[in-house]
Amino acid sequence: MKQFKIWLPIFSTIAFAGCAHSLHMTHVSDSALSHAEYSKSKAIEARSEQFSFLGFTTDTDYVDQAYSKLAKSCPNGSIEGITTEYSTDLGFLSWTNIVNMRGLCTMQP
Amino acid sequence: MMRTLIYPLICLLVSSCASINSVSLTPIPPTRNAPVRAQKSRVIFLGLNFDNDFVDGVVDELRRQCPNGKVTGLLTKDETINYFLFFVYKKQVTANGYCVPNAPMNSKPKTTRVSHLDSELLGQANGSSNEAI
Amino acid sequence: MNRYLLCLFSSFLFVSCAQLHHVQIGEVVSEPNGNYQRFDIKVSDTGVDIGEATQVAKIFMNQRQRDTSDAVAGIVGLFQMGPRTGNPVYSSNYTSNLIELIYAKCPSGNITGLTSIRETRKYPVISGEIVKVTGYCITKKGA
Repeated sequence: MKQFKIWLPIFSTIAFAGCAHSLHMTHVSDSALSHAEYSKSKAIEARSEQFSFLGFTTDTDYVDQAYSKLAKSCPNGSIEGITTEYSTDLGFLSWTNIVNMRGLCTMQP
Repeated sequence: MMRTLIYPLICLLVSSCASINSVSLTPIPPTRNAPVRAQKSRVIFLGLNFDNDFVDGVVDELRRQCPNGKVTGLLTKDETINYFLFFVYKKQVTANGYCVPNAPMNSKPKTTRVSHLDSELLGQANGSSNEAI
Repeated sequence: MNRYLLCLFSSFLFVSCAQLHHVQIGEVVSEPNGNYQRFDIKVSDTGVDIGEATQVAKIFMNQRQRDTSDAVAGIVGLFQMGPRTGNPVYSSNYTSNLIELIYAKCPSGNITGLTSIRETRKYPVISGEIVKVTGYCITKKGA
């Protein structure tokens, strides 16, 4: 019982301290794909992160980087049904801001 | 010692901290030859802000840069840049996209949801097979 | 003890709040010859409020245990720093297949009025961190 009282706070700390995330917003864009085009489309994804120590960050260029990466993943096609997520991985005195963009790449006939 | 620390502390207090409020992205076109960009911002003192009309200027600027086309693949970023302990901060809206020229009036219309539905209805009404768009 | 349990359980009845964090609406198409079928997609995960969990746990603790729980909550708080919307969750991919779910609800792809909503359904200690996507699937009249 005494050992349980010692280990319970330690296990609780380990269990709840790590891997906490906070999803701030999700946006799903319009999609003009018919069912046939959707079946032929390719799912693509672009993700970028920004590490922040105590909130000292001077720009938000990681968002533009995710946008460029997504556009480059489908160089000659259109990208529809884009899901944009902005979230944060919480950490010790620091956090990581994440922008994740997923879409459907369709090639023009 | 205090004097050594005070200058870096002042630098930290007056340096900007940027954070994102929201991000959105519209469908990206295949032709990306003409990027367009618009940015509007407002510096706010002590939280005193009585309207957000500065945001309306973004669309006007995009239309000016793309007079004969459609702006799509639009990445809209709403961010806050804090200068001094949130006594002074800047709200900034940035829009990056691509200008796609409009098709000439007498050419075949592009595929859209509405025209897709219309062509199916027309095909049903005329008893003919659907035309590939 | 029974009184505490009664208070705790009755709080579940009265303390549930819905908080809206973010809304975005897509383009809206009006088609006079179409049927509009509304669809809703909801994905969620359970968020945990460590501070509230500590407060509730303290009811059942002696003074020494309360001090320990404060220390644990403080340490956990140091490991969960950052901007938050709602309560933190422990899974980062519960919204990974939204577009697939949308096309499952509307296979034709004729979708309009797509609204993305980020909300929280708050209960004591835990919360539902919800992403809701609503829209209208346009079908032909008579189909």
